[in-house]
Amino acid sequence: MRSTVIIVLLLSTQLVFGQKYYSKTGKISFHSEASMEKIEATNSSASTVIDVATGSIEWAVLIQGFKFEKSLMQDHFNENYMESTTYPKAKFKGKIDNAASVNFSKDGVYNVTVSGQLEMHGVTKPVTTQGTITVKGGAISAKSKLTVLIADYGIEIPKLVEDNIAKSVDISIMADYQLMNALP
Amino acid sequence: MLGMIGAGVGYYMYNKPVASLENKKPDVEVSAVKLISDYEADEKNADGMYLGKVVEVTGKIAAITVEEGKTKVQIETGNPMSMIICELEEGSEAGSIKAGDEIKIKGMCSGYLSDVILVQASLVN
Repeated sequence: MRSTVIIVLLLSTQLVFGQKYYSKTGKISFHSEASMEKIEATNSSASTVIDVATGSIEWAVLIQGFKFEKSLMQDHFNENYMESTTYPKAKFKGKIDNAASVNFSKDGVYNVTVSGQLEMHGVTKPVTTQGTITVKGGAISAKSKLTVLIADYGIEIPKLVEDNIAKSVDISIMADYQLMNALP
Repeated sequence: MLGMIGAGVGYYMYNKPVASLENKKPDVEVSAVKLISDYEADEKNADGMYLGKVVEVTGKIAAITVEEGKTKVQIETGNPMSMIICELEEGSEAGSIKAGDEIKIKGMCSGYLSDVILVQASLVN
């Protein structure tokens, strides 16, 4: 009898706290192509949480964790463009606009629109993007792409290297989520 | 002739890959427990101490994961939701380490996102 009460309490706590899914291995890649140079980097330790009860999505990523092929590019990215010692993270806080059309308990591939605030280089701007949420066998994964204008985030490109750096960057985001335990 | 050498050096500098940290001396040595508690107490202050620096961490392996060819070593801190995650450098040998081992590992501290993440990590002998 006591175990039944405990189980009921645990289940109801789960309901009360909502259902949060998380990943600490979110993958963010960006790609920028200018006349002289193709710039690519990936970070595979982004942190992200989806609350399936509210449809809210959060992402955080460490700028110094982005891996470039070329040393000079990685240095310039951190020191000159992102100033990552001052702004070590980029964050996104938003929600799935059409969350009502996503059934997180039913297998399927759902097209979603996500809107929120993107904070990068100390500047916060609203962004909206498309993506897909896949539910399969109780697992949730998400994929999205967005393009940002670097000037929007106060990132300055010196005239000298203007041709090497494109004005916009294509960002790819993906994560495989797991259920976060409500109780420690 | 000088122009060609200049161009060669320029080409090399421009294209040289990110340097390995394997033979680099650490800027700071710290236990996994202290590293996480420094960040939990005052993130900005901890960034001042560790961010962008080569940090050598001592601790016990909680788990080792391999995903898409990339190995990550998780070091225990006493809090399973907040650990030291070390992304091994490409080409770095993971050897025969396993969960429960006490190790020294060094890498560049990229900051704190509930876990402290070291990149370009390698095991210290």
